[in-house]
Amino acid sequence: MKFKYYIFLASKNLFHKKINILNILLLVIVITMLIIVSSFSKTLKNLINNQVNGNLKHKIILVNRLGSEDKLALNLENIEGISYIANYNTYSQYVSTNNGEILSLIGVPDDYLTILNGKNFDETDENKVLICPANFYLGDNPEEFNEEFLTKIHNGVNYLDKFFTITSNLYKEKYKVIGIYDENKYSYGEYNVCYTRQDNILEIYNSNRKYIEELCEDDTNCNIQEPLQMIVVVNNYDNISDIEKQIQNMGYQTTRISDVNTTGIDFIILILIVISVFILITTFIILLISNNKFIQYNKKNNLIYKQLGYDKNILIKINYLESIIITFVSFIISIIICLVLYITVSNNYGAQIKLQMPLCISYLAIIISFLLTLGISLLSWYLAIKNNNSIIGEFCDAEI
Amino acid sequence: MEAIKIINISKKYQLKSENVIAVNGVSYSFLYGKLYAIMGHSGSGKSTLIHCLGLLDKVDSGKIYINDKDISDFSEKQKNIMRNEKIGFVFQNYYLNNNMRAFENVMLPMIINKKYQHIDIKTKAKKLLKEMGLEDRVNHYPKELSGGEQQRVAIARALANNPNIILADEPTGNLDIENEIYVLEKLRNLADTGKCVIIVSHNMLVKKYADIVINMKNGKFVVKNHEI
Ligand SMILES: Nc1ncnc2c1ncn2[C@@H]1O[C@H](COP(=O)(O)OP(=O)(O)OP(=O)(O)O)[C@@H](O)[C@H]1O
Ligand SMILES: [Mg+2]
Repeated sequence: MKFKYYIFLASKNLFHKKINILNILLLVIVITMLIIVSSFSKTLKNLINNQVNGNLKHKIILVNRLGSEDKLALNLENIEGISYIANYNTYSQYVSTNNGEILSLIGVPDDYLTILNGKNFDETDENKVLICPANFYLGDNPEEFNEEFLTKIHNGVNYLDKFFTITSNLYKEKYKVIGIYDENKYSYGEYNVCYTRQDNILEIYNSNRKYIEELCEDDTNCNIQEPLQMIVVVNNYDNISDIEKQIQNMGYQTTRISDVNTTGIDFIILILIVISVFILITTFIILLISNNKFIQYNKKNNLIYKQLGYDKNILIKINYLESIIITFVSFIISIIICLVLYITVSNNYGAQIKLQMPLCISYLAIIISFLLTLGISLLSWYLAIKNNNSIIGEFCDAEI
Repeated sequence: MEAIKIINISKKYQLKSENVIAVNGVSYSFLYGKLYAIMGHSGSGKSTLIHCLGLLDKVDSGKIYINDKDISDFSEKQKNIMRNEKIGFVFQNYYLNNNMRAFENVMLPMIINKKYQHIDIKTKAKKLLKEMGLEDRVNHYPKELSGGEQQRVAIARALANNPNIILADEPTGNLDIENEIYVLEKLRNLADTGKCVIIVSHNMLVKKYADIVINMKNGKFVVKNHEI
């Protein structure tokens, strides 16, 4: 039998059977819920990634050297998962610009960042350069994300190739913005963090130190020490405890500048998974019961096919094909519903949500939802057919 | 060659309290080119017999030969092919698929016929309906047709694969006199073209069209008038 006739036969009964309409309704609800639930967990996971993993502050271990001769950097070479190590005095400085913004400058190795626009450090010979965030905030750090806050956000690209005059006490130099980075990926947990070469930070540090030394000249209470602290930046937040332990085992004292707890979000995700499983099982049971009933009530059609010489196998295949088509139709409807929901939500609350958490419809979630529903709908047919094996294709039982 | 030869076939139904012997040791030869009328009281076993002849039901004992082939050796698949290509059924209740248009119903037996893989079965279905006088009803659904029209669609479907054997169980049971005559004449014509036509009926009018009238009583044959 030609494949087009399988489609023909499967499609003929599709929208005439009340049970199919019921199944489609049920599947639409299930698929939509699954997509929403899994997209929501994806959103939450992204939130963790951006708030925790994308946040430099959470990936820093402060390590005290054992003395000015101690070769801490060498000792840490064998530990995996460390992004870079910096001396405390080449790490960061607060500075202000000619426009009045306060910038937090962080010194990084040339290959640390990946950028969104412009150039990276290793693509230029200039020294006084900055890589700044995609969203620039003009004003004090906000206390809440309100409408007023949103109006003060500026696109970082506007600053590309422009100059900032960076001042810190007596230090005053012109810096060029050469690149823009995604602050969701590298943030320090505050606004207006620009990255620069570590040499520049050292220069600012030295200038400030000299300034303080001069202030201290006549003051016996002034006691300026070389910092013994180093900053260890790890790749991934998940490894930080492990790496910290290894460093402690080498005999060093360590501290963290932040501590986050994600168990709350893990718990929410666990609940979402439990809900999804529950939805799937319930649907499966409903489908099983309704398909079972359907086969028993569908004797007449089977009888028509049987007297015309149709094989039982063909009838079974048509049933399977029908349930695949039903799942597919429900899937399309669900996707449309989800897209409409998504567009409505992001049109109305988009800007706020985007800044706090990346709202997303996950493709993976969509595909998995589809496969899961297809799976349960085929399985329910399989069991229903197996259960009623004797009824399909039997003629004598049917009332004539 | 006999179209269908049955030797001593029996069929009983097992109920909780008793056994019903629906067909009780019947032997007979049905020939091509003849129209047989099987008459008898309700419950005499006519439908059971015709289901056995059409391989829709299994006999408990005895042998059935169709075109000289012993069908007790047949697999389920071979029986399906036999039903599809060699036998056409017409039932009292038409048994049309209500979700398909008239021509789609007529296409059904042709879809699975291997010999028809390379012909335009849609056109052929419409042609068959035209031959049954239904050229302006091809796109109608069964619900939009009268009983007589539905039965004519069913006959067109039964003839789709050009079978040599036509089995009709009360084909005129739900029809008015005009349609009754149309259907019986059609079946008569088929017998005249060399097919073996077997009609089960209560209706005395059938006798007028039959070459051979068989009376059934308690699952047994009482053959009345041989060839006219
Ligand atoms: N599926 C079945 N299970 C049990 N008994 C059955 C079944 N089908 C038929 N019978 C019994 O077998 C006998 C013959 O039935 P059958 O349907 O062949 O009669 P019939 O001659 O076609 O009657 P009618 O003219 O009313 O259609 C009846 O007594 C009937 O009750
Ligand atoms: Mg009957």
